[in-house]
Amino acid sequence: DSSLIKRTCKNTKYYNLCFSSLKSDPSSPNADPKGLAVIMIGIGMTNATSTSSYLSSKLPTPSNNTTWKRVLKECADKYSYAGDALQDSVQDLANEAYDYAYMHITAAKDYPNACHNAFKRYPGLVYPRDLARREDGLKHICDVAMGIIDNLDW
Amino acid sequence: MAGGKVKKEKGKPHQQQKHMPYQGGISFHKSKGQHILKNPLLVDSIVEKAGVKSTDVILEIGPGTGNLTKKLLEAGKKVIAIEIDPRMVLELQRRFQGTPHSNRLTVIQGDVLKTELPYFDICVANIPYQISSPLTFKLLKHEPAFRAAIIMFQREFAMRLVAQPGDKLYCRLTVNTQLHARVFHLLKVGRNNFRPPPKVDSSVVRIEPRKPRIEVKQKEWDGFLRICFNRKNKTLGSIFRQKSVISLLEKNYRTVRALELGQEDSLKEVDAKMDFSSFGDDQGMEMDDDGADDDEMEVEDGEADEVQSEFKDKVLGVLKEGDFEEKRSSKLTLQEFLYLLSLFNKAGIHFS
Repeated sequence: DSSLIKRTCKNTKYYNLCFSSLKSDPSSPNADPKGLAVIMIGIGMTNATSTSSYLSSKLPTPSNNTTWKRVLKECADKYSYAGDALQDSVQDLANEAYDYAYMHITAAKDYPNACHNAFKRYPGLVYPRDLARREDGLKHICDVAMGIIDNLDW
Repeated sequence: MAGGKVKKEKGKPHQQQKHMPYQGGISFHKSKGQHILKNPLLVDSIVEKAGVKSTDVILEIGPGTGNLTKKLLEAGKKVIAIEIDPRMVLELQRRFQGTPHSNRLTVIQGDVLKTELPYFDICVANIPYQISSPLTFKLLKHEPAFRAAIIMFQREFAMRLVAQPGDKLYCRLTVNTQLHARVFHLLKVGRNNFRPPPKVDSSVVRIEPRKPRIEVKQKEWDGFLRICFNRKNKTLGSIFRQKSVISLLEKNYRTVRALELGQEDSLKEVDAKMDFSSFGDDQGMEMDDDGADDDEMEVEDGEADEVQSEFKDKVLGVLKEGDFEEKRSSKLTLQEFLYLLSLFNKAGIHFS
């Protein structure tokens, strides 16, 4: 039964992302709205962590471009922090501290901005297209999670 | 490896479902009353209206996760952020770690009311509304004076700060604030711009300390205003005819005269500790008096002895001299209050 998922996703910014993400998760049929939020946050954690790993994997470039290396390192850290913040929000939800959960997801959503800004500081650096895609992806996931939490009873 | 990691992550939702679903009636572990500002246009607007210069040191109170902090760092020279919540402090520090802003941001974790404030040019604040009044007056007493503070308040509190004589929300808080600063209303902020949404709308005000400061003895001024605003819609004549007011002022008067004449014997006979605080609550935001009359307090005591009657005439004479007898506090300007207090003081009548 996906009616709860549909109802829940209707209140979020990105219905299609929300529906497809939750529908494909094996635990969603038994989840209540809070459980759906946790699933979405878990997807966000996976996304942030994988981006952080992806950035770290690019670090040992043959070139000795220290600026590039420093910016990549900074971005890897920022996405790692995003993952940590999302982890904190799962704990907040468990404690029914919905305002803190919202705060931590807001923080997680902004770490990609910090990464993007790091690139902007150096005119010579080009913000990679695939990183821009990952940035939008994480932000949209966070928006969906926040939309679900918005409609919890708190 | 990636696949394995995904499985590990997704295992967590199963664990979470062991928690009881929300049952209602359970009290939330609320944050310290702060509300996170959601609307990025508002953030930009606040920074613009703060008029930040590139040379400014900015004090930010209640930065939360730093949405506004980032803008302030871009606009000013340095930001000192005071945040009571250690979890938000962590996110704030992480957010700016490694960026060129990091050496221009100082984060102080603590209660702003208990923290000694550093020098600053501009203050920007998004605070729990329960500390609105104490924070405002802490800022206004701060030395050296800053150029401006841009603060988000609950709308009614903000409207009291900017109220003009005759406005419904004009009160002792208004006069006390405007004694120290000029206050301007900048923005109305609907409750839906926050998460969680507060029950009331908010407003952003700009507070500019007066330069030069208006010199007034604070205790004297406070005691005076408490009496004037005891019933802000009654005439000053009727307020100052009250037995309780006359009695208090006369004791004070005798104390002052005794001190002036150096008659220590007279001083010993008089209780020197005057209690003006019984008039009005500490916040100066007592319930509005919409003309309710308390006739009992107005009854003149025909049996008063000559001294008391004489002093009462003295007090009422001051009001007549300044043409204040028929006026009401709810319509007096700051300048009129200052003038009336000076008339009383010249007559040897004091309020502290």
